Amino acid sequence: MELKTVKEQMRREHRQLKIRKFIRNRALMIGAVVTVLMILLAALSRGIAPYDPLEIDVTKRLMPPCGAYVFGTDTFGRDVLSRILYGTAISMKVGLVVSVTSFVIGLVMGLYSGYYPRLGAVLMRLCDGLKAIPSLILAIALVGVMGAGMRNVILTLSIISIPDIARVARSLTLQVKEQTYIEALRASGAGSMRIIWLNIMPNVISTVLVQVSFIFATAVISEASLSFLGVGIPVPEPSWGNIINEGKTVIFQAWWMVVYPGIFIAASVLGLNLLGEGLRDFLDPLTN
Amino acid sequence: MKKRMMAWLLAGMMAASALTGCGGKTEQEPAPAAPDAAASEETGDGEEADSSTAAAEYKEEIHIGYKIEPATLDTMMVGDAPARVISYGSIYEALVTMDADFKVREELCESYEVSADAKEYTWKLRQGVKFHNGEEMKADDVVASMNRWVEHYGNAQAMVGDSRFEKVDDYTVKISLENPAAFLNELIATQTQGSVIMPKSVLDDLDPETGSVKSYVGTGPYKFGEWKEGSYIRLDRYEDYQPYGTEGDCSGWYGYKSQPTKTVYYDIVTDVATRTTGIQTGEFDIVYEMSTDDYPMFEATDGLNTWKEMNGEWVIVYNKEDGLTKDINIRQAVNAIANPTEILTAAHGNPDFFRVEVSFMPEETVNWYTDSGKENAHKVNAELAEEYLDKAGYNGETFRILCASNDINLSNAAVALKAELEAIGMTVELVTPDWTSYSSYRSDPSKYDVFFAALIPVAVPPLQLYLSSTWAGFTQDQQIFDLVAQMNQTTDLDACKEVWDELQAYCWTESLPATKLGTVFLYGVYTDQVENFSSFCSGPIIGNIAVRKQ
Amino acid sequence: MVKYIARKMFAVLTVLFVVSFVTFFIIHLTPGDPARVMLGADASEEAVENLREQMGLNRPLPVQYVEWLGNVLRGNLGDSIFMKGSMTSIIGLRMKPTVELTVFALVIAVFIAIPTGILAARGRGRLVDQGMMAVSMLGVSVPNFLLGLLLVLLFAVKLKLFPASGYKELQEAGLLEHLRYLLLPAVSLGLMHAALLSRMTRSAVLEVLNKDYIKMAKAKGVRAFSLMFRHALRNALIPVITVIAQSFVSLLAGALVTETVFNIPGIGKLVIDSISRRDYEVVQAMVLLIAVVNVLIMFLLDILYGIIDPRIRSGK
Repeated sequence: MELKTVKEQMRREHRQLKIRKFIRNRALMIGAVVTVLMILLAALSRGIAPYDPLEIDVTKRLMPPCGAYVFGTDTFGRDVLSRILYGTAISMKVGLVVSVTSFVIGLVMGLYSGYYPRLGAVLMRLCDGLKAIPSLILAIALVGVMGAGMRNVILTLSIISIPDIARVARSLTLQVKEQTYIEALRASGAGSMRIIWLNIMPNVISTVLVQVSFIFATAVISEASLSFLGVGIPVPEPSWGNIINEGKTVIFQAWWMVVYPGIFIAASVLGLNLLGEGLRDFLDPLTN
Repeated sequence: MKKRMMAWLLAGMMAASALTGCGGKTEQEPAPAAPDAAASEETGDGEEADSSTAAAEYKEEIHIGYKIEPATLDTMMVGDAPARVISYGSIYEALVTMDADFKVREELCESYEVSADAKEYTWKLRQGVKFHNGEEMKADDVVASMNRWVEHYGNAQAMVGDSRFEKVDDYTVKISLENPAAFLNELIATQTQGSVIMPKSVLDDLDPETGSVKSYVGTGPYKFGEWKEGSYIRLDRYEDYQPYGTEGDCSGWYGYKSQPTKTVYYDIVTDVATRTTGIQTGEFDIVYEMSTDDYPMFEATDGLNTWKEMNGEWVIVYNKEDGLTKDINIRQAVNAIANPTEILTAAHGNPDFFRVEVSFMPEETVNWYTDSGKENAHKVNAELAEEYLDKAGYNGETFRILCASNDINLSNAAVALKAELEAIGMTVELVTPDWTSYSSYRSDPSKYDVFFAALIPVAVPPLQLYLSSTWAGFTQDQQIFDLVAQMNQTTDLDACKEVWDELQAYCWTESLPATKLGTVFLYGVYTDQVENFSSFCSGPIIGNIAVRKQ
Repeated sequence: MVKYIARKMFAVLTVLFVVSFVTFFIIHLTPGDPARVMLGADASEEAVENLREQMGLNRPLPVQYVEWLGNVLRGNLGDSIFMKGSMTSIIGLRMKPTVELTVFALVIAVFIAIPTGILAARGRGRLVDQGMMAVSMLGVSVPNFLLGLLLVLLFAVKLKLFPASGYKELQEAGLLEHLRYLLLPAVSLGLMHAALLSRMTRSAVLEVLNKDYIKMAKAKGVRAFSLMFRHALRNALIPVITVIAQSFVSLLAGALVTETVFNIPGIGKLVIDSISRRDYEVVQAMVLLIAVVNVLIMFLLDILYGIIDPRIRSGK
């Protein structure tokens, strides 16, 4: 009875400590707030965008920011703010799907290639091969094969991100596998499935999650870069990258088409990076 | 691929470019190379009338900021404008060429004869003309060149059939045709695909892999100097050049070239912003294809001059072999709703740079300009469009517009059309591969319903690509083919024009192989130091341009 | 040791094989082909088909792959379809602006990163540190192309101090003009790496500062300045140099976007242009080359570590 309350108390204190640690961790706080804000904007973009982002009115081309068009209009007379908001939805969707896909596949690949060295050797060579090709070139070529479009951008960026996750997961698995308790478990006849998922995975997952938040950030940048180069999200669908690409051709007249989407890109990537950084500190037992 | 994507947009081939250019729209346009002004920098008249040591005051080099790097300068192989703009009239010359009034004139031939039935053509060559490699140009070279041109150019094949050019003697060449071809000299003169004369020795020694020439040798005033990939193409004055015509007489491509400048650089600058700053800082003397949004800025800048010229004809091309548009009612629906003003504004911005036009042939080609069929053109009528959709039994099937993702003009037009079609309840998808895939996709009827094309204007109506069954869009209407054949056989211009009226009316009202939207223009800028500037069909006449030192 | 090197060599070769395979098939499976590009969009399908046949593009892909691989193994990187001259001369020509840009960017990065990294490490946890790290975080978060365009907006469009884009050769334009054109792209490329490098420097210095021998030296009364430069920095140099070496590779590859934004005729633009006009062998040669440089650097680092730390040799 007494022991139980002590345990309870310890658990409560531990939780409070964690919360305090979370609040004290400024990077994590800011990162989390910005990320949540971006995702909210993305989810609500349809409701809050003042105009239809696709509606063309060529009589209102390239209007500088004003009351009616807070961020100005583009070469078609479309509202830049509305396009940026819809672009947020696309960027967040690409980022989320890419991070979830590469997390799941990369984790499985990493765990198994860490646990089974022979399989690992083969898979890691494949990953090394993919990583040896500069990712943007690989992305451009892959999008070329599959055709532009959101689905293919997501697929491409997932293919590129999986090796990153797999590598981290594998090297952690290798470390954990050497621990004596795993050896003991194996000696006592526990199945490898059980060891991998119940004993190794929980030790690996937090570090992998940190990596995933960076993948999210990278995916947002890559999508913007691809769209900027004209091979990502096809027009007229708005995306931060292709708004800037259109803005580049009229850079002498319309700075707003570059600056505003740029702020959104920088803010969201910064948020995600802070989130990852903060998460790393937060999960690191040494920083307290 | 930015380099190539503007390929069509560039060239006004037959186009009455220079004419429109001067047609009152460009205030700062000086007189185009007037007959007596051509050699002014040498004879010393013109602005610096008093200088007899003129050469010292002029630059040795001229820099032209050009948008697209050609794939090759073997202009016989490719129909791309950049290759022609850089090489024709500078490196190469042809049997006949075109003056500013779009009349056929002699260039490498002294004279030509056409038989009354338009079945036999004979050209007498100029004597003593030397290629850059020192060989004299003779009938063998002309025969080899012209026959290679026929091999590579579908339109020429269609016109001459199985006939080929033959040598009569060293300075005479002829061709005998089975069917009359009233426009053969026009086809040669327009340079849509280079009908230029190269030495036989060069043509006998082609690159086995690509079939293109290994060196660029012609008879023109400038020889090929150096091609620095991604940077520039340099042309050097050819000292043994044999000018033709009389000094000072120059019009369009035709005329006497005095070669005032020693070296000509075509600087490849794909980025319009770089060309913009480059002409402002004096890095370039001439720049082509500037952004229409910058036009007022250049107009207001002292020391810079602009000129405007016709660039291409915008059409919506329908897929007649497969897809939704196989059904004429769907084509009618799109034709009824497409708003040319809106689409062209989206594509080209400033309305000074396009002209909505019903005639398949632009206004500048006076002989062929007609508004027949206008009752079914540019109606922008939603009710009518919906009526046609009902007739077609359209039920939300996906309608695909093909465009190239990195061609901003084409995709902007596609975006505009998409919005218009969606407004009448259609489900529209844009297919946007990169430029290279785009040009392949166009030949595949399963890939699209319509695509936009900015076509190089052609010499005579039967050459319109969308009337051909082999070109993308796959026209399959026998009535069109019959009328085209009839035109090719009609040597009398008025009779021919009547057939054309009938054909265009048929196209607009019944067949709709394509919907003509209008004609677009481009503009360029040159500095005050440039003398004798003249531009024809999207390229400068470099043979007479001189640049004063500042 | 020999065995270790042999094992690493084998790994390198398999990686390069994977790269060659992936690159070849991706670029060849992309719709559209060089024959079409060469002849222009309006050329007839028949003419394109003839040229395709002539260029040997109609043979089965595996056959073409084996042939190409055989040539590469014999040291023949193939020919460009659109450019004259040997592959090495083409690449050499285009490599020049990229290397200039990269070195310039790296110099900028190192000059910013090393001092700021050290400053941040010295003032760990204080305002300097937090400020610097916040700025570097921002630097990492702004994509390269965006930074480039913002620099253009500010320094070229508004202030008109530098050209908006373009490239001038050293011999033709002189040093000053050459650098004037190169500055904005180099800064936009360099800043991001400065941010990365500065973080690395900071953590490397911190790690060394925490080592026992430094604490010892401190206890013995070695002055802070000498401590930092004679002891800490020298030891932190190895990881920093590793990062610089890796930066160089990623700069080379990352120059792709910068070159597009600033219209510099370097290898990045060559790759993009070659992909879009399906100049197969150029793409393959370029990607393989970048991969070789990439993998070789890793290989050398591996060997180096193997020499330094014998445990690595036997281990995983």
